[in-house]
Amino acid sequence: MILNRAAAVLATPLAALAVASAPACDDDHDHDEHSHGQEVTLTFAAKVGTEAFSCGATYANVGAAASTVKPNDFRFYVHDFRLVATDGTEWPVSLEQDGLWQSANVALLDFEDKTGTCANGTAPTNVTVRGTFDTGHETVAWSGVKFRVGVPFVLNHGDASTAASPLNLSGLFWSWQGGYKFMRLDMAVEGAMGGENPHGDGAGALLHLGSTDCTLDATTQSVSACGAPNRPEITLVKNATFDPATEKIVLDYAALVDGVDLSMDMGGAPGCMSGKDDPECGPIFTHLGLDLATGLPSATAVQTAFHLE
Amino acid sequence: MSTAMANGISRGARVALIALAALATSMVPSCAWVLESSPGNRVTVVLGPMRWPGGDLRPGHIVRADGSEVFIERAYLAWARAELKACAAGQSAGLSVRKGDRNVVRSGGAERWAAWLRQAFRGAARASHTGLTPLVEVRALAESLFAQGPTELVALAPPPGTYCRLVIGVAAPSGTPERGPSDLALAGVSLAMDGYYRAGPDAPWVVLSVRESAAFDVTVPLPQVELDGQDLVVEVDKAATDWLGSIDFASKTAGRATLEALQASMRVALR
Repeated sequence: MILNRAAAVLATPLAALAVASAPACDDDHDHDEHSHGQEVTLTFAAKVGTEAFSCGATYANVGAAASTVKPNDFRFYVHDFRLVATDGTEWPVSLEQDGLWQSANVALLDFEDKTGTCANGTAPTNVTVRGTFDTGHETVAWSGVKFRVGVPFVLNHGDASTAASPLNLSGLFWSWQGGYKFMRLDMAVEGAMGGENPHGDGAGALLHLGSTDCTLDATTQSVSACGAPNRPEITLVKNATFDPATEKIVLDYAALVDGVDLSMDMGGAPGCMSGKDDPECGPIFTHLGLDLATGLPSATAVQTAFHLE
Repeated sequence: MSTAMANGISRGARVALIALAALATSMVPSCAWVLESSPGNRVTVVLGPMRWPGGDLRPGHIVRADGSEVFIERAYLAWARAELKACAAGQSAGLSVRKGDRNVVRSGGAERWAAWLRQAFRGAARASHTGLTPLVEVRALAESLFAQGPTELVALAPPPGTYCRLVIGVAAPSGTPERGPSDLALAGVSLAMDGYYRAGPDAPWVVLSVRESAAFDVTVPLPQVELDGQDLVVEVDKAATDWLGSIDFASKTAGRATLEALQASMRVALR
């Protein structure tokens, strides 16, 4: 009983101390090693001009020849998301690992649903990027978002057949160490570019964006570098507040191919396959803010393919 | 040997044990000499890089002699076996092995003992000659075919002999290939090739999609080589233009023609 009483005497102030110190410990916890990330969902939309993208739709007056197009495919990889505060500070977004659409720091946005003319794709679609950011206890007002189109170099040249989803889609990689198709936007074009071949399987207007001029390390037998990375850096920053919950990031196909004659192939590979000498790629790279010669973000061209709505 | 054990063994048995031990001791140097002086033949089959016009790692854009153009985006070949064929007609001296798994013996206990005895008394090279049913393991050959640098396809351990041909058995998997892309429906497909082609510079590009289900032995002639305990590298060279330069991709037999053309495009160098 004497011992129990002594223990009780000791326990009371210790408990009080513990209770009193709890908020301080929690405060340290937040600011030091462990983040309490806040969730954010960034929603994308695909459009052709003012019209929403749909695999069953037909879009008129697209490109330099005012062509009529029907979607075949509409998918692209994105990574390296940063929310931009009104003071210009960038806050990185860590992507949720969902085992399907997002892996590592990469997400696949998939607008085709394998219906209508979109025969090559997959039925499920994904129009969001989900992740967390950590501003500690600060309340931050956002003015926009930045991200890159494509797959980071370290993930771009692995074995796609054993990669985690969404990096395991054979329709989105060149199967021999060339890397992924960062962006695959294919359209059937009425009356042109193979759209009326006897088999009805014309290639149409193809846009396959990916790294080029890649070289192999003779020792490791792995890709050591790519002369043209071709990863667009997209900056969408407003003079007003950006609300990720209500605003969408829109990729406008019509803006992307503005100035490209979709009714005929001007030479080189079919459509734009990211080659430096591919005539169709010039305007498209400009609209993505890329320098076609170097594959790096252009010093002069500002991307116009994406915007906020 | 403990006293209890010694007491439990008869004198006759002890004599027999001593004799066996002496015999075993006398055989050790002999066996070691056999293994050291008759090492197995090791033949490594290496696929050299596919040569594409332009030299890019990505599949190439080929302008063919007739003005038609081909743009291959991806290809898949499933292979089940690789073997060396002896020169004498009808004499298959090859050993089918699984990639990365040499001298594999899949047989019952008695056969394993027989193989061990053959190895012990005839040397390691002969141990590899088992004449087993080919061990089928379907893998993607296209990755090796299109790799920019030399890629080891398989290591064989054939018995001594004179060899004239390398055979790569292309065959369709019955199920999902071990390393096949998950969304490429390849069950029952031995060759898949996707891309675009057009008849000429003014013709429209059309979709190229080849699917072949037939098995096909890609047979590549070798410079006649006599193997008697050496290491050899068989490097297979191939050029995309030679392979795809004359195939009519609009034909219903384009798949078979593609396999035959692959065979015709391969050249072998020994080193």
